[in-house]
Amino acid sequence: MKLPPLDYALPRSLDEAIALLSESEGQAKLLAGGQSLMPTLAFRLATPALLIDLAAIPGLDRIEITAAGVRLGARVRWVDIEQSEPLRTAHPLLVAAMAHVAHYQIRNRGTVGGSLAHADPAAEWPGLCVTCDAIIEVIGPAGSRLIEAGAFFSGPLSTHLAEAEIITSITLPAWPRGRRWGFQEFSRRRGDFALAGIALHYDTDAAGRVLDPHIGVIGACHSPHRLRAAEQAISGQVLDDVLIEACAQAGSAEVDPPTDLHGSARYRRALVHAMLSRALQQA
Amino acid sequence: MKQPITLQVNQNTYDIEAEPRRTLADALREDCGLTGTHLGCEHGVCGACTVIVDGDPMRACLMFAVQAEGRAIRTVEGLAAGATLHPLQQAFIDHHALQCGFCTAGFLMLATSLIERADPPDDQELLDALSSNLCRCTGYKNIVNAVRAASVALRQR
Amino acid sequence: MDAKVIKEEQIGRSVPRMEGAAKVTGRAEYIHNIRLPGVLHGKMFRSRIAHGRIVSIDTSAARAVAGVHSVVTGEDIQRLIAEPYYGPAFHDQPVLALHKVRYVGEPVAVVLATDPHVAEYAAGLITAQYEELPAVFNEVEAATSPIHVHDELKPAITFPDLKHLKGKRGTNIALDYKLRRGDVEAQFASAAHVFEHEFHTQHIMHTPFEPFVALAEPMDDSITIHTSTQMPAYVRLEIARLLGWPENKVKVRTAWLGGGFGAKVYVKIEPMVVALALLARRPVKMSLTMEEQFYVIGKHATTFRIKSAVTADGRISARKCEVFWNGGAYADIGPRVSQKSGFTSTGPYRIEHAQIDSAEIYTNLPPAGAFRGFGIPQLVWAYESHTDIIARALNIDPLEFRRRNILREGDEHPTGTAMRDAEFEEVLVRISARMGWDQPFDRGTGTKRRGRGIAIGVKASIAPTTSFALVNVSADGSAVLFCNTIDMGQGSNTSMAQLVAQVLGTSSERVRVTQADTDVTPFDMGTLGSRSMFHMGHAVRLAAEHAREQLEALCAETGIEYQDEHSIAQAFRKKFGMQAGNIFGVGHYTSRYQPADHDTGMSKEITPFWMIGGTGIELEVDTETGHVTILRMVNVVDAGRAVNPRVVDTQISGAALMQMGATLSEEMVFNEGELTNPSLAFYKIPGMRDMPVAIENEALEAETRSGPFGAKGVGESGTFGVSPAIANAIDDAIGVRLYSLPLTPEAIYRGICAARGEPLVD
Repeated sequence: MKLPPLDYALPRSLDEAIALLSESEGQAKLLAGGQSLMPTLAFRLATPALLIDLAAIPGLDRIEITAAGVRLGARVRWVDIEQSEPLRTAHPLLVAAMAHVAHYQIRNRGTVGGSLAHADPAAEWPGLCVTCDAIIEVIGPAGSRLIEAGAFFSGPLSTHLAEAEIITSITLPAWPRGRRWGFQEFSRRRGDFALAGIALHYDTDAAGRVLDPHIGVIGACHSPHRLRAAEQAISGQVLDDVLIEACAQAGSAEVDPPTDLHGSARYRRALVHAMLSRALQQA
Repeated sequence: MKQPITLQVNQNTYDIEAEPRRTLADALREDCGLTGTHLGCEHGVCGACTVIVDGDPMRACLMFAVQAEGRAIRTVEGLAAGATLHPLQQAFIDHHALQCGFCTAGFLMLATSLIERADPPDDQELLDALSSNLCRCTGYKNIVNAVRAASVALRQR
Repeated sequence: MDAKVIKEEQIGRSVPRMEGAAKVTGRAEYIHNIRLPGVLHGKMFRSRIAHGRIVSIDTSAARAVAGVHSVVTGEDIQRLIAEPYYGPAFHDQPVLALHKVRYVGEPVAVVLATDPHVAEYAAGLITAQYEELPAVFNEVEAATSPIHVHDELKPAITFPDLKHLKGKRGTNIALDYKLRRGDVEAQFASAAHVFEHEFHTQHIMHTPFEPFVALAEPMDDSITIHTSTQMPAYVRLEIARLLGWPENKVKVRTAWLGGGFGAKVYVKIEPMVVALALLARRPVKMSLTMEEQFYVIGKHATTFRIKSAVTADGRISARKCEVFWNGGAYADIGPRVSQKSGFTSTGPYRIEHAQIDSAEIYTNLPPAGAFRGFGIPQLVWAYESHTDIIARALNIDPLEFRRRNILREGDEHPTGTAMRDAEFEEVLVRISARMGWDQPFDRGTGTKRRGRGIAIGVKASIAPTTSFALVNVSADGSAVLFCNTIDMGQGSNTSMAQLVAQVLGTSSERVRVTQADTDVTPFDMGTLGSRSMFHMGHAVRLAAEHAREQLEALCAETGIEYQDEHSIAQAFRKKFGMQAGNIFGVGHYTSRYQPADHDTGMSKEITPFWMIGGTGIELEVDTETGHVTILRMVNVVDAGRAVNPRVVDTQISGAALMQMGATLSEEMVFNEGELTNPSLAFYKIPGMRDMPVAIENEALEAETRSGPFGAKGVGESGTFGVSPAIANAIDDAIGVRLYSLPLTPEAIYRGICAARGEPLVD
């Protein structure tokens, strides 16, 4: 496949990038790692006239760990997360999920900002952001604003980003010591997008009761979301096999999966049940 | 519109002219004449076009040539030292890790980046990383054996 | 032959692949890599409807794109070739659609441009108007449908058994092979047990990693075609026929092939590049993309109805097979698949009463043709699933049931051909021994359940076919073999060099094999159906023997004792006074064959040799997801004597893994004739993590007495047993029997739910 005609710009600052985006009147796309964008262009699913490469904008590739949490610059790559020693304790769920993201070479180029903007419902990262109450920082002609991950996605491959807005960072709230977590997904082949996946974490009180559970679904959904009924099923309880089963049933009942080439809604629902149950056992 | 791009490939400098839409894979093959890098699927799934950019393996069909400017690129043509094959190349021959040979360059570059790392991957990591390339002929077993053997051979040098 | 001159036995030696260094350094030549000055790149515009009359094609926007050389339609082709229809069995396929389109994806027009980016962009601007016609997609429906893909059947002259279809109208049946032996109905009426099942296989694609690529270069009075083909001689013949030219004005050459697997047999895109190059008077290259490959050729989807009568003591007394092959819109070599494989539909069993109806059927889908196994994997899938169901129902161990019915040396196959050098039982014995079939087996617990299964299949070779070879010995004793067998990864060049060296008494490393070039390499029918080691092997052996006779005469004349390449070199020097001269050895071979009788389908000599492959599987099913992990795969084949054991081992693994993909995950999914997953992202071939945890292969120590040095073909045998062995193991693990491929996790999970009385309701 040979790509359609397009122009390329390499702005040196966010201001310059925003200006280019504004001038393009919707004809431009941002280029970060390009690992989803380039196949999209090859298959003519998008035909932007201009690509604005974010590679030269300073400061977008930093990982910062503070008392407030983990702040990832939009151009942080999957491999940066995988190889970050401090993140293993600062956010073990994030690091564990990386092994499921695409393939090795893709992880060397794919970025956290790009994945959010692409908004594939079967991708791990948007689901993690929703599960972990991530805050997405974006900047546009009107300045910067913060968007909660749960309010960021508007459907498959679409977001509430305004025209000419650029994602600059993602912040995951601080990870308390002793937090329990699980990540499970089912895909047809290693590295394929998930048919269904579950990311979850919860804390416990001294009696071992579940506090503040966060359970998010990926793949078996039109965009990633929390499974509130499943969360409620275990909140304040001490987990056992019966409760895990009840939680898995609640979760699979509340998803509304699509039927497509990769699997039927009914099957995905069953997978949500299995993945949720396994993620709770893993935690 | 074509623009001048300078690529550093296997420590040689290539001054080429290419449109922004030109992929690194096409630039290597068409503009640099380095046809050892093959195009299989051209949409980032098969890994046949894998090359090493600044030490990391990347899919050359998922990268624009213009993005590779100023970066150190390694392709299969640069793997051997003159007439002496890289241990991995020799291992691929010895272990029958290739049949049609079309995916071979991609596997070689992916595996090279892994086994040349300062802390080489353990077996699990190795399999996970290698599983990002596809092969339609061999059934994979011999590829894994070759990479394991080369990894050992490289450490013993 | 004088045994003492052979210093080292070359047969059975694992000579390293001769092209290994070229392939690991990136220097190996592929047609993919060829660049020529002045070349134009072609990009196709394809039909978006499944069946319809072409009303108009608007190419104006494409022509207006800067950099476009021209846009060509079927009518333009017709100015060059009055009857622009090609195909090995039927002359049914137009170079570009003429008057009608018959499947989604059929080429309708081509843009030529110096920059492939421009060609692809401009092709996207072409539009066409059609008068849509009703379409038919399912093979069983199409067999009797009032919707006809072709108005009239146009068999090529090549195959006598298609003659009776000439001019036939009002049908989609492109071949109707019948076998009638004994009286099956009487057996069904009186048998202790009767079993009847229907099995399905899906449409799949070879996906060679070097997609179809061809380059035509017009010369003053001839044309050169550089193409990634498995059949250079046939390409030459068919192009010469289309153009009305003598064969010697058409030169076809290949390089290393980036995979073939049957996709690149006969002609594919060559007629198109030739026509375009002659129209443009410039070299034209077409490089298909991975997704375009799906619209060129695939593997037949099938429906197989099978019915068996079994005696009280567990012997199969009668079997009736009805096989419908979904051939797609153009026959390609499909009618051969449905006949040459169709006659083995009863399996490797002694069955006195047999009836086969095997029909190739046109539908409005992309064409189906040869695919590693040539139809056999579809058949084995059905008859070995069926066999297992019978054994389990009769409470007979599946291995024992097979051994009780298996064909043995000298037995008559239902076609009437006696079994020779066909080690069926030994294959079963070795699989079961390796698996410890009689040992207790860990069946797993909880949500992880384990099972095991076996299956065995048989294939006949394609006959009658002819191979020619030429060995050129130089004055230093080194030799070059000229042969048209195409090395697409199977290691044929290395193996053929070993045959030459064995005969000449030199080392294999002193023999080079040329790439096919029809100007210099002699005729060969083609590299397909595992025929090369047998047919070309014989031709190469004969050519080398012919060379050796002359070399021995030269040695005798010069008074030198014939020993090895050094003595050969001495003899040349003595004779010609310097290192000069050549010896040419030529050889050719045509397999013996007796055509099947039209009414009974029987023949005393239906194949020159039989191929046998069996597989044993141990697997684990995740009962919550339907996911299958293959814990162990044991592949045993009868390949006669292995010329190069390492290469044979790789061929077995590769074939088995390919068939594992066809079993568990690969499927071309159509929606009203439109392919929904033409990409490697969504058409799922096996990855490294899908490999069996353990895989072991064995080529029996066997001898094909009719073969060169006891060898026969092995490229496909590893595929035969894989699908049913997996299905049988799944049944063994969880008591779920599946009748349709692929055995996806969802299909298995649905089976599990249905078995426990809670079927998934969508």
